[in-house]
Parts: sequence; C-alpha cells; structure tokens
Amino acid sequence: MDCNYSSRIIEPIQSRCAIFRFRKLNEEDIGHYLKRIARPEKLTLSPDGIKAIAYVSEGDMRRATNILQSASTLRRKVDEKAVYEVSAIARPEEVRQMLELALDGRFEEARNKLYNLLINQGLAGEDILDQVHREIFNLKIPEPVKVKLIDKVGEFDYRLTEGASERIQLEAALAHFVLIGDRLKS
Amino acid sequence: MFEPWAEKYKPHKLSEVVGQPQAIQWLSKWADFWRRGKPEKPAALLYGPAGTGKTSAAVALARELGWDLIELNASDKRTFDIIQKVAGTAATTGTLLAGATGKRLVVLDEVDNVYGTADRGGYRAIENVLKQATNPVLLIANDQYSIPWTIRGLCFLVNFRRLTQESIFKTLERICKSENIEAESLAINIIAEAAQGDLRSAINDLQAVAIGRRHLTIKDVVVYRRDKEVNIFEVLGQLMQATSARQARALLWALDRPPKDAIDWISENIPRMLTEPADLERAYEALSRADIFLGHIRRRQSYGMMGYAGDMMTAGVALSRQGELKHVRFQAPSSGVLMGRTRATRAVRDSVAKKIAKRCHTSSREARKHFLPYMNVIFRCDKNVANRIAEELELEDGEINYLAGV
Repeated sequence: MDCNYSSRIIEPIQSRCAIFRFRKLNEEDIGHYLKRIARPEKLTLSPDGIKAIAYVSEGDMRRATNILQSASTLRRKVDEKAVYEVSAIARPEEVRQMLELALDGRFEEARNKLYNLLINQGLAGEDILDQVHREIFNLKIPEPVKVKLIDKVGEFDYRLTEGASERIQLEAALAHFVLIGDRLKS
Repeated sequence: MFEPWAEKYKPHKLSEVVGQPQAIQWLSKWADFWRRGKPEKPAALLYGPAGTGKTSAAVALARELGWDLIELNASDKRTFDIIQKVAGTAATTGTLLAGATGKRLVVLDEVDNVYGTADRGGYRAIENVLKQATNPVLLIANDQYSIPWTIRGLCFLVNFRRLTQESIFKTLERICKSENIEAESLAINIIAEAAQGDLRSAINDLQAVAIGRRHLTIKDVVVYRRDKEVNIFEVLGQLMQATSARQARALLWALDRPPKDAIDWISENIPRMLTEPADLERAYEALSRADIFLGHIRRRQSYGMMGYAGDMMTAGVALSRQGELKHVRFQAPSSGVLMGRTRATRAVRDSVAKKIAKRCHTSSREARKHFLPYMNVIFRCDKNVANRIAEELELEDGEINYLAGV
C-alpha cells in the first residue's frame, strides 16, 4: 500500500503494517540517482545541472527524471542552462536578486527584473510568487520578518487566483518588500 | 436622480429635431410612402456624424406616426434572427397599439459596426431582411460608404449634417432656461463652438459645467475646457498632488482612458514620484485593490464594480502619500504595452494548461508548471507522440503551435 500520510490510514490497518516513511529527497540523493541514469544513457551531467534539477523538481524524483530526459533531448550535455530551458521556472538567483533590489529600496530596478521574468521569459505570475516564497527563506533578514513576508506573498497569490492581473499584483508585492527593507534599515 | 440632459431634452416630434430641416423633410416623405403601402425602397439609411440627431429622429418619427418602435443594435450577432422575425413576414399580423393597420418601425443602429463585417455575413443578413421587409426599416450609420452598395441600393438615403454653431447655441440656451440657469451668452457660445456640430456632446458639456449651478459664467466654461484638453501627464501630476478623495477621483475622468488602461499609466509613473517607501507600499496596495476589482469585472462582467476600481486607483493612490513628491518626467506605460503583446500567448498557455489539467486530474497551475515544459519538448522533438497528445487533448491549431514553439 502507498499513501501520502500514514496518519490518514485507520489504526487497525496501520497496526498490521510495517511503516516506511519516504521523505522528500535532498540534492545529494537526487544527484546520486540522476548520475545512475546518465551513465547508461551516455549523458554528461554537470554539477550545476544537478543543482538546477534538484531545485526545479522540489525533491520529487519522478519530476527530476522527467526534467533530465527533457533536457537531454536538447543537448547531450545537461547543464544549468539546459534545465532552465525545459522548465517553466526562473533561475533562483534571478528571483533572489529581484527581492534584494526591492529590499534595498531600488524599486525600479527590481521592477525591471520582474518584467524580464514576466515578459522575456514568459513565466506565470503565480509561479514567480511560488519562487519568491521559496527564496524568502534564503534572504538575510530577521526570521519573524520572513513569516510576515510569506503571509503577504500568500495574500498576493490569493488575489491572483481571484482574477487580478499578474503585473500589478507582483509590482505591489515588490513595493511591500521595499517597505520592509526600509523598516529594517532604520 | 441624475438624468442626462441629452436624454431629457430629446425631441418628441420630428419638428422638434434641431437643425436638420432637409433630413427631416426627406424622412417624412419616406414615411408618407409607407403609409400608402410598401414603397420601392422599404428602408431608409440615416447617415451623418455623431450627435446630429439620427437616432432621435427615428424615435420621434415612430412616436409621431404611432408606429411601434423596435430598436436593435446591429453589432450584436444574435439579433439577426430577431430582425428576421420582426421585420420580415411574421410582422404582417399588425401591432399592439394600432391593430391590423399598424406598422412596426425597425431601427438598426450602428450599422457600420455590424458583427461579421469581415465575412460580410452580417451584411448579407441585413440585405435579406430588407428584401423581404413588410415593415419600415431604418438603418443608422455614421459613414454611408462603409455600408455595401447592395444595401445602400435598397435604401432611401437621408443625410444628417453637422449642426451650425447657431442652432447648437439656441438649443443650449433653451435648456439653460428650463433648468433655471442664468447663463452668459459667451459661456454658452464657447461650448457650442467646441462641439463642432455635435449637439449631444454640446449638451453633455453644458451639463458637466452647469449642473448644480444657478449661474454659468465664462470663467466656469474656460476652466472646464482647460480640464478637458489637459494632457495625461499633467493629470498624473495633479493626481499625486490631490488632497481630497473627490478631487482625485475626478481626475480619472480627465485621464480620459478606461480604468484598465489608466491603471497602467498610474503604476508606470508613481514609483518615480514617491520618495517614501511607506508611500510607495500604500499606493501599490491601493492599485492592487483596484486591480482586483478590475479582475472581477473582467471575469464576471460586473461593471458595477468599476467605480471602486476607479476610486482606488485615483483617490486610493493619491491619499496614500504623506512624504514629499519628486518631480519627474512622466513616461507612457512600457510594460503594459509589452504585456499586451504577450497577453495572447499567455491566454493560449493557460488554455493548454487547463486541458492538460482536466485530462490528468490535476490543477491548471500544476499542469502549467510541471507538465507544459515536457509537452514543449515533446512537441518540438517527436511529431508522432505530439499528434497523439494533440488528439487526446483536443488541442486547437494555435495551442499546438504554442507547444511546438512556432
């Protein structure tokens, strides 16, 4: 039997089972497994490629495998560039830079980064907010502030699902980062 | 209650239609033919610039002759069946008001904006209606040459001209009188002149400056005119300096753009003007709220929400400012235009995601993020599989091209 949460399985069944809990895979695990695929498939897999696949797959091995296969159809050498080419996701550095610019009060530069993601890379607003959410944990700001920001990002995501427009909502989110950055300075 | 004066002072009889003696004479002649039986030309085409009395004359005609009036907007595709019914053979049974001898006057407004102009299907439908008509039909258009000659040939042509400044002046004067407004002649004359032969816009302008006043002076009108012709950059500057909600919301009108475009102009320029981060955040929060209302309107056609959207993007933004204002060069919305260009692509992307989501029992968001990229690769690299998927998902050509990156 397999399930997502063992606690959702009724007690009488649980008691008759040996329970194996599978956690999300980390970068190392994924890398290990991807290399095992790459060898017989005669692919070159660069370290930054593994890192990128781990990020995009969010610890999901099936996704990771799919990404590897997609990327390998473009090039025999699977590197960071190939991975982001076949995924609907921005490089995490780009999102982080955008947020850091906003926190630094450089709203217009942050906004231009946003336009690049939205327009040139054609990403969806909701997916960018997903990544903003993930990047918040990597920012150099006090932990309680991170929680406040996550709540706020969730609010803008909610507004998007209510039919608001990607550009205005993401700009508003950046404006909020500007405010938080300013408060942290003083 | 607010009542547009342009409605309130509409003519009730043909003789009350202002400044179009010749057109009215022709129109009466055509109506006379109809009273004696079906004339050679069953339809009349009233053409001329906006605000010259075409629709008003049609309504006045029906009222004067006791004909039932059926007004249809020609730009709506569904109306063609209805036109067939009311103007065609089914109408021989007479009318509610006048019994068996009564006529129905079918008015097709805005015929130059007919749906299906591209394939001419709309016009063909009108042509058929005119050929079979047993009741008088009036077509109304701005430009007679935008209508195919096959239709024009079936019509009695009635030209409405721009009104003279004098006849507009007289009408405005009459309205002032019955509204108990003492107006300076010069003030009225400025409005009459600016209207350039369009009586409706003149009446609207008069109401805009005169409503709620007992006296109308040349000064009121001059201020109004300057407002009206003010350019968008000036308005943006005024918006950020506005100190009252009423003052700020009035500027949306001066921006003279639909709220969905106005928000692009405002969001493009406010970041450069505001100096305080807290102001910026509050202003954007207001824009975000406005945007939510616009989203609602887009999705559910709930146009009643437009007021909230407009107020939030003007008053909401203006009053979020506490700090200093920086003077900057305004810019046209660059991103908005670019987004507009990619909007079609985005729509295709989302429609594909929706189909995948339905077939794979997942959310469109999941489909867009984790399935679409593989689809892209498949459609670029493996035609056979791509075809099978396209069939399975019932993809349309545009969607297939999107996936293949064409």
